[in-house]
Amino acid sequence: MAKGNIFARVLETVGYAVTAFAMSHVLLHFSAFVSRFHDMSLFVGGWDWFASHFDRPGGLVLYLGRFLTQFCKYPWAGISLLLVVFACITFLVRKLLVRDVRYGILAVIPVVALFAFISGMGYEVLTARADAQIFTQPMGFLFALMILWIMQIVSSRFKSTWAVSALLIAIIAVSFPLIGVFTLLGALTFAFWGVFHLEGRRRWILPIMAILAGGVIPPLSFHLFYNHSVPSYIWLIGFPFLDYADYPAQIVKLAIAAFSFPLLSLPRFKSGKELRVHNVAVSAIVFGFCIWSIYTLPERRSLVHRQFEAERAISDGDWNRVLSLTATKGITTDVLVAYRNCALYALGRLPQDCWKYSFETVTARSGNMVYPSSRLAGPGIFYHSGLINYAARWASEISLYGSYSIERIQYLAKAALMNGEYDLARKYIATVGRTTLDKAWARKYMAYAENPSLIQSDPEFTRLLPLLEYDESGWYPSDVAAYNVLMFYSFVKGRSAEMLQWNLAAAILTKAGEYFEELYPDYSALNSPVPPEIEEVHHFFKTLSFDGSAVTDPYTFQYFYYNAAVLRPN
Amino acid sequence: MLRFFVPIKATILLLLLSACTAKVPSNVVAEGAEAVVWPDYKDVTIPCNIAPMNFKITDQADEFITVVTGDASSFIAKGPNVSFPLKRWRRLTEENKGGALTVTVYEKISEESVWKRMRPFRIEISSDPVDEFISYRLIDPTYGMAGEMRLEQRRLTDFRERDIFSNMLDYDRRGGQCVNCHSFQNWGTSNMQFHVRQRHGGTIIVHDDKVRKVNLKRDGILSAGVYPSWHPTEDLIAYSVNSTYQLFYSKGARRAEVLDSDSDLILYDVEADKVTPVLTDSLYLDTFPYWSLDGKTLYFCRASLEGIAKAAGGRITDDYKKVLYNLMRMDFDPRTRSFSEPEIVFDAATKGYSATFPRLSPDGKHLLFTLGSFGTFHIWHKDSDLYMINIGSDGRPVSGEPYPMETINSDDTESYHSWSSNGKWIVFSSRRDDGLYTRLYLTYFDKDGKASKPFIIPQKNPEKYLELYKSYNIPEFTTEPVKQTAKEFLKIVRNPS
Repeated sequence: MAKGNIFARVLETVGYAVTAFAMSHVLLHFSAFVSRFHDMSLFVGGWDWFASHFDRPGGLVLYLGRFLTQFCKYPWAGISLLLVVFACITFLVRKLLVRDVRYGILAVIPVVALFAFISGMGYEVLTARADAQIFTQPMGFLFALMILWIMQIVSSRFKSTWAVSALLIAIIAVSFPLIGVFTLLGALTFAFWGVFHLEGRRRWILPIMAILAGGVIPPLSFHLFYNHSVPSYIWLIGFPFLDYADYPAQIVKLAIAAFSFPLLSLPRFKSGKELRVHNVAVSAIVFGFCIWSIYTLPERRSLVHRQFEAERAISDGDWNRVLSLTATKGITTDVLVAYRNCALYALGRLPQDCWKYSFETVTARSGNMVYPSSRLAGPGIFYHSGLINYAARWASEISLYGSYSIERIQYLAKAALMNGEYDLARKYIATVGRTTLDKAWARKYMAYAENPSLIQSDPEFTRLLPLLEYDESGWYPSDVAAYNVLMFYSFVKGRSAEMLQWNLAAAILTKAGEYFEELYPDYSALNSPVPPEIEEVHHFFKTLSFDGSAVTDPYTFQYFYYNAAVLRPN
Repeated sequence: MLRFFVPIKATILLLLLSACTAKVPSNVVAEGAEAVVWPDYKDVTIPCNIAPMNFKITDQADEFITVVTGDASSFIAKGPNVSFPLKRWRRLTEENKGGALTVTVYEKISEESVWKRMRPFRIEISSDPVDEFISYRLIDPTYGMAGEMRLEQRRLTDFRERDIFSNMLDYDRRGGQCVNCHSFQNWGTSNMQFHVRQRHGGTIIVHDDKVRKVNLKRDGILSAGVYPSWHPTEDLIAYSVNSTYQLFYSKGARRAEVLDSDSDLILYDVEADKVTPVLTDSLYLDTFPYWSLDGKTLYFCRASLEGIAKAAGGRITDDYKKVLYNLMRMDFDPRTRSFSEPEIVFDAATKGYSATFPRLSPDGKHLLFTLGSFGTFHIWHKDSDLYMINIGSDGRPVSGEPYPMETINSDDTESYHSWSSNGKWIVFSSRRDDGLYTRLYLTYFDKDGKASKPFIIPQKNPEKYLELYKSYNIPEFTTEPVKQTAKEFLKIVRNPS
């Protein structure tokens, strides 16, 4: 082996190591983001569930993607598996496409594009129709490379272009139902590769055959077998394009990953002799760009990741951490405000502290897509605010966009337990019990369903059950969860001290002075001495004083002064 | 080479056979209790042509042997899952038509040396067959968004299911559509209809096997058609047109309330594509039309809005619990297409109840309906049950009050129901299993007007119901399959009305 090639190999190896380090470094920094993929997906055992994946093309990719995504429960495990999948992709790209050691490092281009796609996800982790995208897309690309690999082996055994074409068509026909659009990616890459790397004048038949088969087989299979996909989307099935129709940057990243395959099929990357300066320069520039991408393209908006972290903390029951993540005096979102109120309630500080933080919210959006808070976090917000049926409703409604996830099923189960619907709870808990990594959760809650008296000893239920002490009457909630909670507690008075906290907070936050004054005697009777903040609010509402002399905390004055226009007499 | 494999193959086959073959245990003690099985198929009456009644034994034991015996043959299964091969099941039901199968379960705990023979139970096999097909909608029991839902047809004689239409065929990133209210003329499929709401909305009409889409929202009519009923002999469909909205409850087993602020009846002439208003009095909510089999009586439900407070926009306020529907009827003259004045069949409101979904038996003698404490959408009402009222030859109730169908009602919701074409079987929707997910139950209606213990429609994998997060609603029998494919319907759905 030439000395230059040894040097190239060393550089290549170092490059892979640096890429892997950079990716794991970034993902570990966003570990809550990784774990949310687990929460928003579901993998259970059983034939029926497995078979249900195949009512549309690409079911195998989704099934395996969900299988791997379950390990994101432990971010280190999810990240490790993702790196293994990336390593497999890189290995195959290197083996099948970039055979020139001098350009070996270019084999990371597809995985860097995939990484940029994954790390570019923001609210889509919570709202996507297609769950488990952290693994479905890499697995799809891996399958595409496997098709390429098989076809390269086939083409090395059969010299007849017609025979190779026939096998290519057969592989498209067999694999399209299993891996969807990735079949076409693999087949077209092979056809493109074949034009440059196979011998014989008839090699041009390959792309023609691939295009023809790719044009005919998907609609034919749709016509014969599938009733659960839109015919016009059939050539894209497996790509999560519907989730990013208003966020095209994500589509571009997937397109880069896809187009890198034919690009790397060009003869230049087939083989080389001596390492030249321009080889190193090209590799270095591309590699540098890749590393730069890994560090700069992830979704950096702090509010999204703060929400992910808060949701992790909620699931851990760590309300102090939820509060520290949401108790900002800067820009926030409806979801973070709602989580903050839940944290304050859990920590027993709701009425006195609820108005001390920022309400300067921005719309939750990705690209041009705007998400209402109910869709982003309806189950969590409503459940931890005591509105359990709305939690269950949104857990179901959001699932209709995509599919039932472990977290949504857990909320459904807990809401059913609180409602006393133990048969229903058992149904949900049994689903969780069929997972691999959440059996402990299922055991704990199944014990509650079997022996409801245990519910009273669970701290979470103990905190929330007093919020059910009111006379029910139906109403019309909107899509804004945080607002709904306040409106609900502004109108529905409860019989428990816990509900009184929410009622009082709702009165304060909606500046409903008369309502506050109506509640104040009950509150002061139950909370002696009355916290000074509540006294100040009481004084404010009573006197409608705007000079600030009556209040001790400047923030109290600021908050009420700037928001009290509704209280001013005309 | 081949010779080398023959003994290996034979050994494997022998091992497999011995593993599969179950024998009635000999070392047995009798146990007084019955085995617990899911679904509960104990002492039910089934149609002679029903699909295999597969079930699972849920008792705590390590080994199970189930012996199903009839007059001429028997079937033995090993393990907790009892699944009948279709041919074997056919033979069992055919041989025992008019008789019964006896199911004996043997259970053994590993540490114990003897088997326990549980108390046997019977499955009666009626010689009255059930209609071969049933159509229903599969939908998440959710409330606002049109997620994945489909109209599906199930062959009751085996487990085959096929989509009539799926809304997943026609959605975009902004959302999908709601498909609902499938209805057939006289248990056939040459004349049928269903609605598509929102995207590409309209009513899909199959008339003499030809499909078209129509817009039933005409000038002066409250809405597009909602609850349909095909006239048995004429090319007419009676619809209710409803202005519907929802309320949501924040706690408790009742999740939502679906209410009408206004509703009328219309008649749609399928041939002439003409909509005629029938009942439009704004003082009444008229809904749920249903024709008698002779086509001379239209049953429906009516609630009076007198004294009911409405908010701005027409929605009923907290008074919605005072909205009570009576069972009504009108004579219909098919020749002149005219109706008589409405008359009361059952005054539910006076008794503080609300009646919905009147369905007359094919012989015209029994009117089955749902009775709840208020309102129109009883699937959300835990107290709703099925009631029967006896009807005379003039289409009016004979003396006597409606009576509850005690053998088929449960503590939970019973709601939509349909008669089979021979009037011997009733399918109805019930939430008795878990309180939320609606399942379809079948019951035998004998010549004395009594219903047998109902059973859930069998599935190949009986645990399907436990794992499925979808409700079955609007079950309708048909004697033949829907002839169009979902793709054929899709073409029409995508056309403008």
